[in-house]
Amino acid sequence: MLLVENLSKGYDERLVVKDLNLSIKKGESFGLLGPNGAGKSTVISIISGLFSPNEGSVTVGGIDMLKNTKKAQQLIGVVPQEIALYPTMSAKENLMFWGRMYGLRGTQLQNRLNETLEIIGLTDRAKDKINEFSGGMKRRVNIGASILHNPQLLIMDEPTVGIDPQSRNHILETVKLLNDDGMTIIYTSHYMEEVQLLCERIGIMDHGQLIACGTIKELVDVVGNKTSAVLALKESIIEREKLESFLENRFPKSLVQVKEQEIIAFDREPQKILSDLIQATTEYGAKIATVEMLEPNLESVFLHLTGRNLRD
Amino acid sequence: MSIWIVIKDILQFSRDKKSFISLLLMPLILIAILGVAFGNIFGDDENVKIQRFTVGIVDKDKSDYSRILKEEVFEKSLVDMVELKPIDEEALIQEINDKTLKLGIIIPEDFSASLQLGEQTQIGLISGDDASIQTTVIESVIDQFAHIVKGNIVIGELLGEIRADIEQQGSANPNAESPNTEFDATEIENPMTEQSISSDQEPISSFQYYAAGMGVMFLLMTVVITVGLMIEEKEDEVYNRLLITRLKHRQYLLGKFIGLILICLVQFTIIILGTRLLFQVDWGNSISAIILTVLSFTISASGIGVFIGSFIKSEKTFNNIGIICTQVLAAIGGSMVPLYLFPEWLIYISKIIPNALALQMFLDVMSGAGISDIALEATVSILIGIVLSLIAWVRLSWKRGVKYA
Repeated sequence: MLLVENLSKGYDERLVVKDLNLSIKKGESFGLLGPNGAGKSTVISIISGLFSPNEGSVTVGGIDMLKNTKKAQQLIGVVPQEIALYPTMSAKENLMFWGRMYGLRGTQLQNRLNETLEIIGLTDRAKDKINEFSGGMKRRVNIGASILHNPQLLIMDEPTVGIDPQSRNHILETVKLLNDDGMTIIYTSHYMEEVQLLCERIGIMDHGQLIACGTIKELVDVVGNKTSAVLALKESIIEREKLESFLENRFPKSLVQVKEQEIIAFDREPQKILSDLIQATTEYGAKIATVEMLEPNLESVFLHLTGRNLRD
Repeated sequence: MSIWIVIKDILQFSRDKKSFISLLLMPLILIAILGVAFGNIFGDDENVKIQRFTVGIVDKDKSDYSRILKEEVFEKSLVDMVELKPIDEEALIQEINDKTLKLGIIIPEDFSASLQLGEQTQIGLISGDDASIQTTVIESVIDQFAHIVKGNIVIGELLGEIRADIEQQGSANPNAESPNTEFDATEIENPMTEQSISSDQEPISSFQYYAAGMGVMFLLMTVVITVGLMIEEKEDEVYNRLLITRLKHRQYLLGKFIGLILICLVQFTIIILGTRLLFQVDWGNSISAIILTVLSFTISASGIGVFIGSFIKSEKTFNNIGIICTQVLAAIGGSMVPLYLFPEWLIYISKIIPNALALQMFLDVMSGAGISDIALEATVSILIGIVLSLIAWVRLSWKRGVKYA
């Protein structure tokens, strides 16, 4: 469904996407993870035909996005991170407008409008204006505007940011439903559990590169059976480098990482060094709030690969 | 595809109560205020022609130049406008104080000497509180007289040198040293020639003038607001969303442009109907000329808006600059104070300002002009808009090409 080859994009001599290769099959749900500034939004903009790359190619459903942009764009729907709707117009008026922008007319438009309102669960609020909706409802209409023309590939950029749990669940169910119906999904999120729930395959981006790609099991295997022991501190560490060198004298450098308000031990059996780590931290003068053991999961994979938490 | 952009824009505009009220109701309110407040500028009979007025004159110089100013300029060329009353200085001041005279001129003893030396003339003007227009007229006449006399003296001196050369060659001329007092009073332009109405046209009332002036100013404001909204839309994710639909960039621009013209036409129709019903303003007999004026002005104003917008990144900056530009253009375009009260250099500038052109066209139409009478101004206006739009389009396309696909 999507083939991205040797993609590079830079601004002012700074490369934000470096030689990226990606292939997504029809009907697949693919999660794209990465910390802020990793280059995810730029990749999405290039895939959707909004930005032109410096190098490389993008093919959607066999159509070259760079050579035949409008035709290729007809196969995709993009749910932007921000609400891209007209606030003084109703949900119905917005959806009608976006349907027309995708070339839908007459009964076809009316049928798709009714189906979409049904999917996003807003049939009874169709005549209400967008600026009267809650954040969650706006997000649902935002999704609706992208699926009216029944795209083969749906790209969702952080579609659940800042909404209530009920709306979030509704959106996740909607995405699952669309994927079950055969729509290919690319999903980016800071919420690891959403990606784990929705996506069969995951790509992790950092510094403009795809540093890992595979199923959750394949990615977890990358870190082996390593478990994380996380010491959350009561206060932020002021002299981080000083604490780092203090701990490096007692533990191997690859074993312990110091974050702003956390110390993380990453090993097959971190519990073996846990008591020593707690003692060293206390000796240094930092006060420990909680201690948590994390089994291998996407979060620890991400931490292992990027040295950062997903929400950093 | 563009038609849906037009419908969407009109729907959004009609639901924006703030813009709706400020762009449709405010012009009617301002026209009412200004029409009543400045009615006296246009005379009791609501005619732009200034009534003939008496000017007291004290001639201390009694030279050829002061005689020419009195006899050739005031008593011949401006006889329809000015009546001269010879008087002594003391009596003049007394009459001004008593308000039996509105304005007086004192020609100083060194008047002709100053002119011959090329120095600034020191003619004294004494006026009452309510003679600002008459003062402007007299000042303008004296300035032009001084300029022309100085010009004649320079030419005379040059001629004198030539004569002296000829004299040296044996062809002496006894009048070579005498001052050049030959003066053609017709060289002084009637200061009212910059008036919007000539003698064979229908006079314009204050309500008519401000209906056209405010209409033009608010059309300019509509363009600024609409182009500002366009920039705002481009800053929003909604514009990127539009670009990944079937909509092409040129369809988007066309839709925006048609929407803007329709909004301007609706706005001006409401101003015309409102002023006709509320203040009995006569907009002339040619609806097609009115439509052409609105269209040509909208095109030129949109061109200016898009041109400025292409250099400005944020909607906030555009709106701030747009409001300032609107006020400045409205002021120097004659929307607030009639153009003929402006200094001459400002009148020249106003001839190339689209809103001043539009105002002049509206006044012409009100005075009975038809579509053929305003065709030239309309063409100039449209050309200004097209040229500026093209520059903006090329610039935006270049900028877009750098970033977008």
